[in-house]
Amino acid sequence: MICAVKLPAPPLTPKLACSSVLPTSEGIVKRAFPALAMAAAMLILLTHRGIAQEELFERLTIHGYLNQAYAWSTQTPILGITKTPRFDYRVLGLQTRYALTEDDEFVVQVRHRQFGNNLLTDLEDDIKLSWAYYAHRFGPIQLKAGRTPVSVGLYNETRFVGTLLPFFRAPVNVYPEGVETIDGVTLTYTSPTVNGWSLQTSVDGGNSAIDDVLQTPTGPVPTRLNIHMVYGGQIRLMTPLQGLGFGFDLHRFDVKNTDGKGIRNRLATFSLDANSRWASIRAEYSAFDLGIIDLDWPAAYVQAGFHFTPAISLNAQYDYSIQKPKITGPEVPMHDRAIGARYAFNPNLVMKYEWHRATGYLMDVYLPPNQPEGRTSYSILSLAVSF
Amino acid sequence: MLRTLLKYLIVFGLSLTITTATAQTQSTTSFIVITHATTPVNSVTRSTLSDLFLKRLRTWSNSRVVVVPVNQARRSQIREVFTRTIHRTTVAEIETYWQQQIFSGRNTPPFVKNSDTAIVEFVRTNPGAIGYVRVGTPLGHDVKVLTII
Repeated sequence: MICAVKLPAPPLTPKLACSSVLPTSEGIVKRAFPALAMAAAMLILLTHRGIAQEELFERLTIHGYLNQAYAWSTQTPILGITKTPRFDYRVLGLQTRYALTEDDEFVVQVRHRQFGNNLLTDLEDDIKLSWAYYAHRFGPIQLKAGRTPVSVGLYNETRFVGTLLPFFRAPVNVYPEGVETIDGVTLTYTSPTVNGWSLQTSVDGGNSAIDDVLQTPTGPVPTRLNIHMVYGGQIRLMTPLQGLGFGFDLHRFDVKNTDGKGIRNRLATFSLDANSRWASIRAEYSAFDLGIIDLDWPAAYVQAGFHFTPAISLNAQYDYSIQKPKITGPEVPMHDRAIGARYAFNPNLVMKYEWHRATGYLMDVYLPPNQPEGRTSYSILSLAVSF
Repeated sequence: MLRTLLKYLIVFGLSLTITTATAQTQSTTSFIVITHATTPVNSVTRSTLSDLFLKRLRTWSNSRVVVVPVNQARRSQIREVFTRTIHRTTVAEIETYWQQQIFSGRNTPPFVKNSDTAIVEFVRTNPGAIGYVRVGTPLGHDVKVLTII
């Protein structure tokens, strides 16, 4: 999330401890180590214990999702979408779980994504390790260790799982490239329902990295921001009114600047989620205090859905973000308004069409903040599958 | 032209009748909740039962025995009736709940068995197991019925 910053001129703040290239092959091997270790452990375990085939099928579960789109923009390219309509717009995830006991399991999830001509997805490995962790349950508490997903807001872990979303992806101004996983530990607690109330909480700590592409006057620059410590937690409260819930989460990210000094950054998010048979409303507000580049970055969205039948719904969404320099410099706003139709053949197969109108400065070309903002419309026709 | 229209109307009327009849059949399908005989409870509330099948409760009360719920097939009538009665929502909504759990790394859905006999057999052979079957299904030994209070 941090490196998605559209830097006001002068373009690059020297304090920003981003490397100018994406990971080297050595780095990739290092980051893929947990998955390789886990695969080896599973292999040893299976061979050693001589698990029968029937038992293996009960212990091993495989899930996946595909979110495939056909997308085009009318003016300025945005989010990898160009004026030339394109099919190379997709996200695919594959998750494997192996349960050692009722309380212990290994989980690996890999992801492939391509967002049109987005430079970041061009540079990413075709298959990228998303999660690789060991989980153990102590009654209602679950401990995960390894590369684990981080709960931020309503959508952080499922931001591209099309069958769960009213649009192709989670609102992009609140969910830009960000901390989706940490290499560390996560604890979650789920309470039973008492008088209609239930609670889900999580705390996490570890390190992470954010890859993104900065648009600069000289062209797009891929960057990596290493976060040496991220920690925080989330609380989600479900009320006795079926479908009504609230959430709050707070995370702190420590990033080392070029002097090796740790700079504190904070992200707080509030969420509201209300669902009924006929309608749904979701809203989130996130406040990002980016100490590393002296920037405040508030963002919010509101989504409303009308369900004509269990299969057919119409959705509308407004999301925005404003990058506000703390000391001096112009503000960088971005707005996205969308309407869309969704048809669910069943919960695992969904088709969508959506139209967006975007205005602001965060597009796939450099737009100087002292010039008029960019404007474009884009459409996405998508098919989402999960199993 | 009129004849064709009449034909379509008859077909439409027939399908509506069949749909209504099916809905009535569905609403009269009743179930019993069964557990392994060693489970340390004899009755549960609707809300607790819902939590057990959504895996919000991991162990049986006052014990360390892990709850192992087993579900009926997704398209079965009994699953629909159970979901409407106990979870007070639709099967599709529950499927969406499980997708959310799976892809956020939190949990996985219960095992699924395709017949009452298979459910009874699963419950019999797994201490801590809980399932539901049609009223009148032969239960045999090591399986008991839970009362919903």
